[in-house]
Amino acid sequence: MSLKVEHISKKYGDFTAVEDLSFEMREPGVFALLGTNGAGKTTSIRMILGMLSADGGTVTRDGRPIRPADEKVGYLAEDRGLYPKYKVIDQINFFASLRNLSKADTKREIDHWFGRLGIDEYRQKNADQLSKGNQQKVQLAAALIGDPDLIILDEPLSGLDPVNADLFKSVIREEMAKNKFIIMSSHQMNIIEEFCSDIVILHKGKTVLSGNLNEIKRRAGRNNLLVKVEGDFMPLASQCGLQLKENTPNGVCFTVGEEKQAYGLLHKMLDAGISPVKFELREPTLNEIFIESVGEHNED
Amino acid sequence: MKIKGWKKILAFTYMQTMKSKSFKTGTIVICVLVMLMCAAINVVPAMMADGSVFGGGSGDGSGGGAQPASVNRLYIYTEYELPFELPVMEGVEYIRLEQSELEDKLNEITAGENPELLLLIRGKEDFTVAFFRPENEKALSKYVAQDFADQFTDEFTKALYLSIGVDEADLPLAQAEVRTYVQVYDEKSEIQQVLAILLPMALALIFYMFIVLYSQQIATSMATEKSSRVIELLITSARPLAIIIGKIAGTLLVCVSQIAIIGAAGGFAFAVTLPFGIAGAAASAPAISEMVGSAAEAAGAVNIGAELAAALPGALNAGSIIAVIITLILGFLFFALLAGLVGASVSRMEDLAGAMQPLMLIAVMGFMLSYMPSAMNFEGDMDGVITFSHFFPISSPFALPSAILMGEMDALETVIALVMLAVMTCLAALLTAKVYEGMILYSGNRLKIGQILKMAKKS
Repeated sequence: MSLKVEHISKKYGDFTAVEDLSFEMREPGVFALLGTNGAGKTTSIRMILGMLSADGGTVTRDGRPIRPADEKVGYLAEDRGLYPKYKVIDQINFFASLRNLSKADTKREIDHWFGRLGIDEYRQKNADQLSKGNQQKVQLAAALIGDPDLIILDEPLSGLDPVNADLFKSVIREEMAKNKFIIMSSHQMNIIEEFCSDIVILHKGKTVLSGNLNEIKRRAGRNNLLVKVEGDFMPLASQCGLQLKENTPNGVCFTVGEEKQAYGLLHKMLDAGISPVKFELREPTLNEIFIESVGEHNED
Repeated sequence: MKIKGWKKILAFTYMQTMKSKSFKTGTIVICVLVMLMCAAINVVPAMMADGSVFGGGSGDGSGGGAQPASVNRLYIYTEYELPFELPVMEGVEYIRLEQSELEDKLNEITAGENPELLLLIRGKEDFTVAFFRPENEKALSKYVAQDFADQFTDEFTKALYLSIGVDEADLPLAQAEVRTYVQVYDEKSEIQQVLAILLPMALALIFYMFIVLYSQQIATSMATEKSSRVIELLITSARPLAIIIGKIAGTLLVCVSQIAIIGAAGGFAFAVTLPFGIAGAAASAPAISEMVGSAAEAAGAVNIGAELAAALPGALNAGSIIAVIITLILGFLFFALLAGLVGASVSRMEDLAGAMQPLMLIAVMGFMLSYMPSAMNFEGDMDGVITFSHFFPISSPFALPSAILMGEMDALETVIALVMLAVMTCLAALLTAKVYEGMILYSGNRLKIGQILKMAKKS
């Protein structure tokens, strides 16, 4: 399977929600759609799913236009949706029937997912009697029932406690292991880094950065230096031309133009008899890439 | 297919609505009320006739409590000597009066506190039998007095026939009443004429209630799905058009089921209480009330069930019933489609009431157009408006059913009215199909009618 998004755009009146978004998923894995609030992530997801018709561009799956009602798509929406006054089990049965699952398959899958997510005891409860976290689990079960090939997770971990967040992460890993195509949108950059191979960063509807995350990082280079020492080494850093980024209890962080600046600092410190407790030259984090990309375009 | 999956949405909508507490409670309450009404249709006229309600003249009481006093003394004045003996009433003392005593005794009885009557018999060949009772009903109930008078008059007539040589075995024939009517062929009885006014009003009200109630339910359901964001999950598995079709069809099925349940409950109550009603009345339609018998007539009792059957002359056939069902389905679909659109035009539940106002206004206008002319048409001067209401698609869902059942419309008129309603329903469906897909994920302030029409034009 492959998913190809080519030049899709959406306007609401004079407001451009998404402009010329393109990306392709050739291999199974997790693709990240990132952006600030209102950047156009949800609109993009809706267009990818065919819920919204794009003003221009195409979304194809294996070369043919995507039609959500005809595909095996699992969708966990950002704004969680369950019928508040209906029993959980009735709702899941309904969603399963819409995906043409047989009764036996539905029962088997419900048993599996309710057990896996620890919500077996809530089957006969109305959705509004469940906590937010448990409602989210029911939603995830609803998204994954029917073994979809394409899974779209819009902010899957928002509002979850650490234990349940871990549970969700383990489920995502299991789906990855089953070679599923997953599109994930999140503000939690550490989660994206943990799972995603390819990313698109949207800002005010425009793509400000896209590509393979490792390549993006490699391109940016190892330009972050974290140093923690006993004693004053700041004059040595100035001599090496390092720019102070931030001073934290964990150490002092510099922006490095070239790697040899960092090695120069290390030599000078050793020559001066200053032993570093921590000396780390690293690529930028996704969070730093995100802030930098969005910041640049804010300045524009 | 654009509507693939609609049957599953129908089944889900139907099952969940039928299982909901509000549906169960509402249906039970309505069923109880309808059962009471249906039982009352049988029982109340019969009770009115035999006097067990409203104190009718059975002589054994007026609605329970202490036994009322029965007549224990009868003062009698006859203008002429009777050619036969007065009948003897058990336990009643007879006292003959002279003419000179008459006025004083009348005053005494009128003001008296004893269960006494004064009997005045006038005439030689034609007799007038008049009874005078105390003014104070505690002394003697007027129903007890009437009952006594009826029994006495029966015995009096019997004694008269026997005195002229009629054999006792021939008495029933001799006493048989011959009644005369002068009327136009197929003319409606007074009761039927009243029903001709009441039936359209009642049916219009019932259909209005069902259509408005369920349209509101569809709009609420649509708005709930949008505000709770369930719709986003639904449209990953079904097309928007399938969702609205499934939902409307499911709600229509709930509506039909509820009508069937209520109808069955009413029918059951009617059947169970039939033996307690005025027996055999239905068989003697159309002039039912006149033939029920003097007791019922005297008490003003009417067998409404039989009159209702009689008020639907010939029009109650398979064709008319099918036409009524088609009318209801088209009318329901027309308002339900518009209600679905209204529900989809809002993103927040609090906006729904305001958004529904124009649609409710249209429904009220349609209802009033079908209801008011029927209520005001005593002189036939609203006939034009009534005819208009049969064909105008806003009012025809409420006006057509009774017009068809009452035989006021011929087959061609019925077909024309149904086609007009079907065209409007198709237009509503077309509008829904065009804009619903665009509206379903819309969030923000509620869409105005102009915006919706603009969306329809664009798509």
